[in-house]
Amino acid sequence: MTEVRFSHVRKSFGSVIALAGLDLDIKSGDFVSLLGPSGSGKTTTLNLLAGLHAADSGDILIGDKRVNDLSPDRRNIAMVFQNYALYPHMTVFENIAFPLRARGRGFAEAEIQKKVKGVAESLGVASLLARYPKELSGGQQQRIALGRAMVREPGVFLLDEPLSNLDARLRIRMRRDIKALHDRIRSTIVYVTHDQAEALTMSTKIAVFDQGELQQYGSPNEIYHRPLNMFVANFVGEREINFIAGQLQAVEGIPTFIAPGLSLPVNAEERWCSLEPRDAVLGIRTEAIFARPTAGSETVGLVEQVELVGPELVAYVKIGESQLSCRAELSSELRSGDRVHLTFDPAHFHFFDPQTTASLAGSTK
Amino acid sequence: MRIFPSLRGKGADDGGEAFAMRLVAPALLIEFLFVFLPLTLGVYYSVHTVRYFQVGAFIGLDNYVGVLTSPAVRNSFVVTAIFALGSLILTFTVGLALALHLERDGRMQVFMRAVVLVPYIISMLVGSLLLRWVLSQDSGVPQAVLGPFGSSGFSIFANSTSAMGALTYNAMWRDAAFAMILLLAGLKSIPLELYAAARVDGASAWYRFRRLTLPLLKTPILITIVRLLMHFINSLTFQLILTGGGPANTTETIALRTFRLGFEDYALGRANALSFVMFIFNVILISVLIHLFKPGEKLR
Repeated sequence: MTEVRFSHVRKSFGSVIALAGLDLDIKSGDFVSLLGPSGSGKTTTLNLLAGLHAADSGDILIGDKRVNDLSPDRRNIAMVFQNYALYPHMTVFENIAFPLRARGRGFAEAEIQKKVKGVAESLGVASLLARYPKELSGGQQQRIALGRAMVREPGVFLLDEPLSNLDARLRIRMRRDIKALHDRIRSTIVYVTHDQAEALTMSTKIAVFDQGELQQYGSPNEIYHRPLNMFVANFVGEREINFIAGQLQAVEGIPTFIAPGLSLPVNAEERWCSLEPRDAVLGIRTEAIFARPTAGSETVGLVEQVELVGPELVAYVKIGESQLSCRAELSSELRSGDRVHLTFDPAHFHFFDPQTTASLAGSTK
Repeated sequence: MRIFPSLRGKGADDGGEAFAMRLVAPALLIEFLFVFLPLTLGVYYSVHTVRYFQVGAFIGLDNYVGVLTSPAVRNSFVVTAIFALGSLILTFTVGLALALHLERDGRMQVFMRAVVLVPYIISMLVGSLLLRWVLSQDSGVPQAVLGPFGSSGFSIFANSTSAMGALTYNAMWRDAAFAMILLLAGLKSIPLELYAAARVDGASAWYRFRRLTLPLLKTPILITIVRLLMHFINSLTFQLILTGGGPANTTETIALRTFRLGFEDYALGRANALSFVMFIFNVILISVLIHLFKPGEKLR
């Protein structure tokens, strides 16, 4: 059981600031995903934690110990790399045994045998021990890499995009395997990914990064349903969120969002909602807008494109100056050129300041 | 329409085979003129008495018996073995050290790689002449270094041990860069992630070198060793220019002995017999090299 803390950690490479003052608390047993696009600082954070890079300033703590000056092997961590980094000239057994033998801490051969076999069995790869990595499938290699990390029973697991080299189906299955693994061993896991679906499905906490800065840190639920800024709102979610620039103002005493072709009443209980008119950007996800061919609301738009997504349709609807993606029932048989009525779910409105891009809900908290 | 006529298989149009032959003919001609013909001629000479290009009587294997029993040739075998192995160890060690040291792509490393390559790209003859001057008794380094200590009379080339040392040094000076290039290519193909993983796994620098670098570099290392060995066994320029085989033939290798038999003593029959013996030895080394390149041998 080990917690991890970053405080005011900075790192730059030449003139490029990779991490601009990171503060992050990871509780013991948490599964934290570091999520962000490439170049956002998430991998730098992991490498700093692993000790593969040295921080320019700030403190990194693992457990109660400041580890800035400790070499990677003395940090009580294990790491799984994106390309697995299995040693190609060693068998699976030797690969998993490597961390035990490399330390020269005098594990008896019988003990090594026992540990490696135990780990291999728990990952379902006990039959592969005599093979070489090149003889294994991607998923099997992935498990071996996990096994090599597990065999040392480290306080913290660091996983660097471990699923990105697998095909889509296998990736979804491995997600569940890794989550089950975490549930079983209850170690602290720090997981780097650019795939928001991986982060949402596996983690207990998500840290969203952009341009070297931590944008938001919270549970998957918070990240998805209460994004603190436009970046987080847009980055998390299967498809791009709809952003509509407009104005918040009171219409007949009811706070209302007004944009070309749109007039949407807002839940009045929202605390931030003063009645002074102000510019705002409405962020609303595809699943919170419903398109119907029949009359049902005042808001009317023109269908420009339709996609089939399994159980339902996604329609791209032109309304005013913006194009919105919305859900529609399969049976509605929408086609491009159709006129549709849109209903919005006010519970899923996110309002942002157009200048700062910060959430209006967060600004008064 | 067939653009390329089939090159094999029955039923192909008759033009196919002829076309294929025309394509390989120039290469075959060159191979014939510069490899097959000299080789045959060499073997032919080696079983005859040849004096000043006058081919005399057929004498069977007398030339072979003659050279293999000659004390000078026997001496040259020993000298070649010492020179080749000594140069190999020195050159390989320095080459590997250079490769490891200059592996990273820093500005300094890239510059130093170019510097290290200079002895390799200049002519062997020029390089050896240069070293002969540098190591000479009158104006060279020994005088400058040992002179102040009163040892002005020492000549590197007059002592058999130091002459051999100078020779191996010359070989290393030139060919360490060649070894470096081969080994560097091998090092570059090892993913950096493996080293990162090993560091996290707690492997020391020495352990990483022993358990990762060396085994993953196995094939490049073997190729380098065989290539260097062949080169050193066959090299003539170093000995001819730097030491001239002296003092007292203590640095006269097989290649130099062959050269002298042929072009100083004009005993072309014997010279060809000796060079054919070397040819056989080279064929053995080449087959080792080909074996190393066999697919399936490599793990990566």
